[in-house]
Amino acid sequence: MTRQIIILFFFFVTHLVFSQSKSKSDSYTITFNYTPIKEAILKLEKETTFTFYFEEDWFDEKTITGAFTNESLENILDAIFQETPLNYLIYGNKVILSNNSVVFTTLPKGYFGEKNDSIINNPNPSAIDESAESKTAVFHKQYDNTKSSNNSKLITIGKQNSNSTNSYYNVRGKVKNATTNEPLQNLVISVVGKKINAVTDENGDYSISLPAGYNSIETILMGFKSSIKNVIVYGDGSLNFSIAEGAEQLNEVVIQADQNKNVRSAVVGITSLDVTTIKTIPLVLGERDILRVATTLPGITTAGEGSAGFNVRGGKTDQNLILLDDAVLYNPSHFFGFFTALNPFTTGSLDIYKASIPAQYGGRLSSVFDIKTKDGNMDKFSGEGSIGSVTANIAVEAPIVKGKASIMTGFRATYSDWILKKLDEESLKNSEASFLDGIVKYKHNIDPNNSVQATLYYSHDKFSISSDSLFKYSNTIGSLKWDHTFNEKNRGSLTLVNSQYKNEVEYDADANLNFDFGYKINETQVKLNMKYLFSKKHKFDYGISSKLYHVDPGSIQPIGPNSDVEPLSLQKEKGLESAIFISDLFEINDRLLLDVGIRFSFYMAMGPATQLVYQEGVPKDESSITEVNQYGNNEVITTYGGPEARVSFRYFLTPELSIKGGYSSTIQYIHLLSNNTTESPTDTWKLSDLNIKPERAQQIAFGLFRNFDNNNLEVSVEGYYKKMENILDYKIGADLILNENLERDLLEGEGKAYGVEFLINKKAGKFNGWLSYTYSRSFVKLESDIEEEQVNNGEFFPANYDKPHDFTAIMNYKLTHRFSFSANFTYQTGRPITYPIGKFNFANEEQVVYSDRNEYRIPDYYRLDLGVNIEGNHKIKKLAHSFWNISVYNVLGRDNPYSIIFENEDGNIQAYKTSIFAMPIPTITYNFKF
Amino acid sequence: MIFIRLMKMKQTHIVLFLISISLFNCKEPFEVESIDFLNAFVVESTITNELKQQEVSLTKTYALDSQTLEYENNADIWIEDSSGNNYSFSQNAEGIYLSNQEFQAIENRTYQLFITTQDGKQYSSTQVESTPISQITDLYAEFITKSNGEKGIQVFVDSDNENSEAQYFRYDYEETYMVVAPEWTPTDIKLENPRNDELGRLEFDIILSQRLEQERICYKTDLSIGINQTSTTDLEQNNIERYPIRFLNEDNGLSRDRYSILVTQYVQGLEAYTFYKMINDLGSSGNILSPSQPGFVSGNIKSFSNESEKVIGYFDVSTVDSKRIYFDYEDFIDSGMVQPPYLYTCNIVELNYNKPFPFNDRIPMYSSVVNFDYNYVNYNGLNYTLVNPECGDCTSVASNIKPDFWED
Repeated sequence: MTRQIIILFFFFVTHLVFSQSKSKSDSYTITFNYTPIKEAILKLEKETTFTFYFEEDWFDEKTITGAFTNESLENILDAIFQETPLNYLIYGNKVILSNNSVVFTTLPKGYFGEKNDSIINNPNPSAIDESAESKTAVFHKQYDNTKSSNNSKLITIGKQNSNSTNSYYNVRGKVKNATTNEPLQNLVISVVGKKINAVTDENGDYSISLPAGYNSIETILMGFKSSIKNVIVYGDGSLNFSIAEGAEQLNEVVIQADQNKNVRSAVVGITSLDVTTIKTIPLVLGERDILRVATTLPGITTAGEGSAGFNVRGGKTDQNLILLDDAVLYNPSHFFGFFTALNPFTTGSLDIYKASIPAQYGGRLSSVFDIKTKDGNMDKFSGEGSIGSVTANIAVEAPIVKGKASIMTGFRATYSDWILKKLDEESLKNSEASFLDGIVKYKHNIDPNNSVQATLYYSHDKFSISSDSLFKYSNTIGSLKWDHTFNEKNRGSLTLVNSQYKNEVEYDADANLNFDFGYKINETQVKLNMKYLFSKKHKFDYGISSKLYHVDPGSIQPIGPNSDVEPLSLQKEKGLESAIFISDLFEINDRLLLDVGIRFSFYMAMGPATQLVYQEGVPKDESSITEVNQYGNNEVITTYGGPEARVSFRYFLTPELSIKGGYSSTIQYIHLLSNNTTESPTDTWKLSDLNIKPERAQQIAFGLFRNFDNNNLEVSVEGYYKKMENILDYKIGADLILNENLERDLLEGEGKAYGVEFLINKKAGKFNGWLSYTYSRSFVKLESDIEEEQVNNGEFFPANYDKPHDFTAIMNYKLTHRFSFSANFTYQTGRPITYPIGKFNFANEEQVVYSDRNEYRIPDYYRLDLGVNIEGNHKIKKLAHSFWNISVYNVLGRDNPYSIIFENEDGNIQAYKTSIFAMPIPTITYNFKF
Repeated sequence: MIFIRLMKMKQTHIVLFLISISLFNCKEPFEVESIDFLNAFVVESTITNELKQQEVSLTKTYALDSQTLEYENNADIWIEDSSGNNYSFSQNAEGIYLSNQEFQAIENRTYQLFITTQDGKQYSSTQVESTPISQITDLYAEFITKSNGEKGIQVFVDSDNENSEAQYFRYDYEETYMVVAPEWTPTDIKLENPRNDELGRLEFDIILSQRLEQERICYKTDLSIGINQTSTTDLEQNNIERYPIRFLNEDNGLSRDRYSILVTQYVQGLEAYTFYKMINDLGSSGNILSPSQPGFVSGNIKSFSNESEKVIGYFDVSTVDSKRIYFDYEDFIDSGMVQPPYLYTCNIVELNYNKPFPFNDRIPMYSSVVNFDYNYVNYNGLNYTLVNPECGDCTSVASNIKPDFWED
């Protein structure tokens, strides 16, 4: 470290000789999401050819959030250090950081011979010496004595010279607004405890004469935070200030310093997660699972342990648009949802929109999960891997064209299958459960205005539990994106994506029932998304997208010559979903920010198809068919569509307290058919058609956001009310698979959901984590004049996933740099269930009478997980950086019921509960980086 | 999650790492808390176009852990038709009510059921219209081999509805079969006057006599269990062909002597069909791909006084047609059918009375005859051969009264 300091001083002196480096002009694309400054620098070091010099102690708990696309290194560094006392010097391939010392490669404007309005209030003006090499004696003792009482960073001005005799030196500098970079006029610079003051001119320049040695300098300007800098004056020099506004301002769209994004942005109901923040959360089965972490946040729940799919603010599991690099990921889970189908090492960030869904997204009612894959390292080969109890995972990044193009790839697989095969337990011999996923991303920055990226993703699951049925499913995704900057004000991206989801069931038990069932959905989307930075007040987003669906709703083939199963293949479905959207981020004034957007979506169900027209007002069945319509290829069967409003606002009540609200309406043209309580891999998606209308929802949401302790502590309260129409439900006894007349078994209902969400999030510090509590309700109403189409007398009843109370605490404690502990506690109300409540005799047979739908609840759910991370040593230059994670899932061994089933045993109805992890599950994972 | 429902693994204790295995093991009995038993009223009635005393059955739901069927007795029941006729019912047996007069459902009339229970609660059905008429065109039995290799006699029904609007069908059947006791002899055995001799050993008198009653050939009638429905809505032609009604495995003794099946076809309306189908679907475990959505199935009976009261059941008006056929295994000898074994296992024992103690079997003999009604087969001068009553006396399992319809 001393060596680095010495080097620092060396460059300080010689900075005028070695000026611009050639690679400085290169541009970089990098994303930070609550990344600590130090990690951001290390990340930047990886991404660029530069080597950074700094002292670790300089970094506090400040984080940086922002996406930089083709930005110069300076811009990125400016943003990173914006609100820190750090400064930097780019020298050749080295970036030298300095703490408080402002290191200039050029002198600030107005340094020489310009008009200077600064008032110099100096008790001894004659002592001012222009020479930077003047003779000053400064005693470190001065600093040392005060250090203990003042935590500010120490800045040195001038070069210490043992021959110095001056008692005052001239210090000049510029004061800028940290947010806008504009010079600040009329800012008072005063020396604490001494009657020395200066005021900045219209260029933000000042000049002040300071006594040699230690000074504490304070800046004062109305509307800005006052800041104190501690300086040791050795000689003449310069000192610049970057002053943060007291009232927060919306940052430029391109560069976001997102420390207080939650308070500042106009988006209500957004959740952002960075993979690095979830590193310390206790793992289940040794996996860092970003989607599982998402469920610990308010408003996002799953139906139970080991269930795929998320319920966001009282919405069904099919109402979430899950995007991986802009392509829809139909099934984001492996193995009943125990694992996310996303490789944690290649996943960059996740944004979840629960309420104000940006106008560019559509097609699902409740939420958008926008998952971005990391960009590969463009400068050097690096990688990350883990070996856990169930899976092994490796991700590698490599430059293709140094500084311009990179490839990133990740592969993960389980070896549980192999373990199952090794077992002596006969009943499990034929069981298998395995999954794998792989991803490749190529990114190429062609020039500062153009970059392209391509992602390929594949996941595959295979499992059989009873040895007679084998389930398989897979996702395949391809995504192409071209980003182009037209000029300073106009940017755009063009994406072409394709997603495919398939599932298959092979049943091989009774000789005459063996079958092979298959389902497939494929969608291709083209989307043009433009940004127009019209002015400081108006920023427009607009674009157009179109998506073509192909659904193969199911086919069944007999297996073996003895199978009685009749081969059957349902007619394929085709649909085109298009949308045009525009939104304006309108900053009315410093306090009020509006985000007004509208999306027009339009859906066409297309042939070839045969569609039945039913008589209105009577049950749909063969007898109520009025017409049988045949449609040729691409012939339009029916169209649906409409405007979807997306409006939200933010209003600052005080600089750190904002109120936000929003209204959004959404339309969904594709429906998941699932009459299990939870999403299961055999569920199938169905397009809207003549008889199945799109689902519609409207949500109104309000929230209060307050940050404390320098944005380190975020507190928020949000409330929402949501109404849904045409929500698909099922008649009692409905058969959803291979049903040629599915519409006859479906019901269209009304849904309503409301809730209040509380979140306290401590982002940094030795002790960090969050507490979240949600009170929410979700109801469904299936009302009809036709008795058999009515459920629970046509009154609202709790939805399958209605869990009023949901509390989660995530706590991390960093003991030392090497040891950190984490704990995770969850409590949820048990989900509703339909119980048998009696028996009766009918048709000479004992029958069970069920309660009203979802009249009862399974017992409440709670769970505690604990974990410890043990990091390797912290040498920065080391072959591989590694850490161990040991965690215990369900420490209390709580036997949380997953479902309650009833079986008729010798004429007695016996209730059974199934639970999934009824005991503590320890796991150990070794992670390494290279 | 259907997968878990399929699982019936035993708890295994595997190393904790092998989570993937232990996931599904935890299925344990569970005491359901705070579930209220639904005490509801169950109506089952189908009046038909046959001129007869129509029947209504009133029962009640019973608790999940109970085995006792509960009846609703002493109710006041009547049916009104759209022509103003009123048919009242009287209780015949527990929960069973028969119309006081014979009547039949007539086409294009609607019928409505009214019930007043003994505690004064009033219920009525919706107005139900009689369904179209449909005939059973053919009822026949064939010896078939199922694709899984199982062989036996399958009873099929055909119903030609080209000229009928009937589309929804429910079937039930009544099977009657001859039970011929294989070890029957005309001799009856009685053991009387049991006593101990001077050494305290058991002695009794063995009295052999002619049987007084016909106990060799009996007849037994069983009703079908459960709901068997089909519809022609998904068929191109409105015909039911080879619809399976009853399968008798080649080893099923029902066809050993003579078997008769009376199949009744009920033409249902869509609502009735749907109600029965839902009840049936909920009773079965559902298929592997998609389990059924459970819920309360409401029929067409409503309470007058309390609209939200849950009433289970259905009042249906159906046209019916029935057909009866007779067969026995010999009709299928050409297809390779051999005589199936007798319905019951015969336990033939040879017991000795005369040998000195401890070489005789007096105690088991006495117990067999007196406690277990064993029948006499023969006596060879040394041992008595006895057989369990199912094989010696058909009246122990069936009735020796030949049904009126029976054709030999």
